[in-house]
Amino acid sequence: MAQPVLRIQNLTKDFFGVVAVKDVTLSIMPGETVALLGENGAGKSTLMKSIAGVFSATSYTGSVFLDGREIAPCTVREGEGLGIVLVQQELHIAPNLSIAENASMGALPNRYGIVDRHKMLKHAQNCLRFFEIDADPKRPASSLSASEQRLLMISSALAKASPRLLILDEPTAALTPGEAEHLYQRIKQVSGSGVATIFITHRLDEIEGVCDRALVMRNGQLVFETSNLKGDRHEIVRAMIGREPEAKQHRSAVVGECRLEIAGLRVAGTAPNSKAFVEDANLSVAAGEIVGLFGLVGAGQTELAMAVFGAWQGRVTGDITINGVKGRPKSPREALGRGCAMLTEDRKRSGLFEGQSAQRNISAASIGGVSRLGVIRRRDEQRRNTELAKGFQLRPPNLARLVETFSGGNQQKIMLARWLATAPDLLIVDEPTVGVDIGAKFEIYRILRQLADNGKAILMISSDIEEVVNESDRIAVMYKGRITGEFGPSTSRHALLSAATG
Amino acid sequence: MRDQGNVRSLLFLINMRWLPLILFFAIVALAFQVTTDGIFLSPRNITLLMRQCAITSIVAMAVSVLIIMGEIDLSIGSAVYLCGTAAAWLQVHYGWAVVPTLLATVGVGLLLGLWQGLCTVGLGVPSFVVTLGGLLGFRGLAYYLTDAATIAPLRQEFTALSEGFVPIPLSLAIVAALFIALTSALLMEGRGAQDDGQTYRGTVLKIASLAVVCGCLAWVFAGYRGVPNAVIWVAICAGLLWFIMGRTVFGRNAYLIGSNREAARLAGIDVKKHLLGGFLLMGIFYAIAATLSIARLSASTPALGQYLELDAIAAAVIGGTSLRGGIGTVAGAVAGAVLLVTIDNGMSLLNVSSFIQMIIKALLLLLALAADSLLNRNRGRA
Repeated sequence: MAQPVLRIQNLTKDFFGVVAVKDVTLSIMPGETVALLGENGAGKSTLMKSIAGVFSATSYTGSVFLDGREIAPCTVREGEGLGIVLVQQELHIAPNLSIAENASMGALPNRYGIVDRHKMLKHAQNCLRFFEIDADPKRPASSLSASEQRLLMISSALAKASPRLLILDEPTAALTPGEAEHLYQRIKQVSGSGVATIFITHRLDEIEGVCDRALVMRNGQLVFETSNLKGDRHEIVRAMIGREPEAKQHRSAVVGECRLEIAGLRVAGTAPNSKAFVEDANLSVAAGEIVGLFGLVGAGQTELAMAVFGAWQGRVTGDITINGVKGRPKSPREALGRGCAMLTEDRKRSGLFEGQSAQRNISAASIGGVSRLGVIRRRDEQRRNTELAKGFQLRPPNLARLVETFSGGNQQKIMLARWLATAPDLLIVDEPTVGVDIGAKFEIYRILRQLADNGKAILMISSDIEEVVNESDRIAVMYKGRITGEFGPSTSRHALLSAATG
Repeated sequence: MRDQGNVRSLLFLINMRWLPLILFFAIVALAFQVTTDGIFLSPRNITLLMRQCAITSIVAMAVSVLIIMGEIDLSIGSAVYLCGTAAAWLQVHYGWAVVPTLLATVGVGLLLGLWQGLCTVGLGVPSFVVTLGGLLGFRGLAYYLTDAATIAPLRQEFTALSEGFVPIPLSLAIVAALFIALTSALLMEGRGAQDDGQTYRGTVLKIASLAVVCGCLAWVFAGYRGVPNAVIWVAICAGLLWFIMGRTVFGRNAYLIGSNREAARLAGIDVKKHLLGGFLLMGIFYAIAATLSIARLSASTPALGQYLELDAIAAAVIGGTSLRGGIGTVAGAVAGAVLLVTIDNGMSLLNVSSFIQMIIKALLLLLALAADSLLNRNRGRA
């Protein structure tokens, strides 16, 4: 019997006492293609990063064997030198530089500091040839399609040392179905040369024809394993979720008139042939209800929300009706004027004004309401914002403090206060509890429930299945840009995750 | 607990950002006072110094608005020159009176601001590039139209706009009025702050330092010829701009746009309109600075305004405006201008070569930027 190329024995990793990977034991044979599945936070990426050297070998317990020899890489370079290649989800491509320069990024062949162009081109040609990509290495990398760029990155990573194991983290998250197909076909070549491949993914329908085996992780542990991917689909999903918990007490929603109606929505990028992030979406949200929009990485929820809010800078087609008025908002300004507000996914990048006080952050979208003839009425502003802060139990309740001095949960409350100050009828919240501690999480749920009780329509986007199941009155699930199902409040997690994974 | 409160209010009074600047200023002033055998801190010298600061202060406070928004203006000197040339031309060759000239100058300034604003906002060209074009283009245009000639002389009433003085009794009355107004404002603010738990001592300290400052001003003005007209201009402009940046929606949004432009867009702020407004505001200040510049010389000369943009930006940065945007004050810009001109003045009194003066100004700017980046790092901004 052939020796496994990778054998992990009782690997346990924690971050300051919080266990991320618990006692994992597995082996992978040479040339095998394995899918590593699990929900967000199951421990898949952590496990892979540990064996690749992103996390030093000293930071976890257990042993890792490569081709029978025990290894303990402490850095990524060491891992690469041993033959473990990890390709992250984020592509590090410089679009204006040539394909050759990108292929040699970080390791430009040179002679005493002067780049050896000939060697660089040769290397790039080898990388391109490996995946049968037909391109001129001197042309800019932006001339390649997204999947070709990823393939280029993979082959240049493989070229670094004699590879034994290739790990791909969510390789098709940003690709069209055609591009994903192309990528999987090409990757098959890799297994031909004896290199084992591990896909970290949640896209069950994609990997069915591609992988030999599926490993499922949940809460840091390896809970299920099968070689019969298609037949065992049901079991795979069940393993990802675990036992169905007791049905929780749901809020009784008093539903009013329709505040948001989406019909045939299509959201695409600015380039004419760019992929569609959202395809043929139909959804409605009424006053007094919380509609959960569930989906995993790359499902298209954020893009849908941006389109509704008028913040999407690509192409949008389809009907959006807000508060009975038909028409797609052309700017956030217009959307706010029509009674729609949106809490963005990444508050650090697109929400918070760092270096400014909490007061200014709260008033940012509604300063007109507390000013007259362009002059701010500071007393009115103070009064209104203090009331909002009190209602949200902001801690500390000092609005003069800079917003970055508040904890994540309180920052999120400040953001909610900002949108609430615009008196919206429809509130979209994108990942409302990301980066928020457990105590503040429940406070935010309480606030959202209260807002719904007061007649607001809330669309809650989340990739956290617990959150969505507990807090929503209705759940819509998205996968690859389409709404794959609408469910009632007592739906099983299993059904939701099935819809979210194809 | 009580000691903590006192220390906190002391620190609050001397905002950490201001402390290095004030200390540096004190050291510089003392050094000059000693080395010039007491000439530096005489009422006469201080009055002339204040008049000298006027032009730099005005452009510094205006450019700080643009920098706060996340933009920059490299064309200030050339724009001021073009406006000044227009004003001088109208007076000397067409005999226009003071007020029509002023209005026309503002018109020219607004046009220049509109041009640069539209290029930045409408065409999407970075303001660095647009105003770099302005730097070359505006001066080139003025040279072309006037054959790079000196246009002189200007009317006496016009020159008095910058060179004249407010009579001493009136000057003292102004200082007194200022003291009363600011003290009552501080008292009202203090009463409001007490509800938040800040101590009474903070307000007392602020009023005390205000009294010291006003006392010094009174001594200076009474000792020479009163308040220079140029300083009145600066005071009015500073007051106006302070109000705009601190109390209006436009000013508030300017800070937000500079802090995080994407978040500002998502908050429904019309970023383009605000940026255009910033450039138009700059245009008005071109005109004011131009008026004072040509009034000072009673002429428009080809070298007018050269390197003014560098002084303006350096003053703004030294005064606490961050080139990253979102941070800065009008008072800081004025303080920076005052510091720069003070060093100029002192070095001139000491007969330091003007070449060395340029080197020293450059080192000062580097020092200010290094201090700015260190302070920002402590605050947690990368």
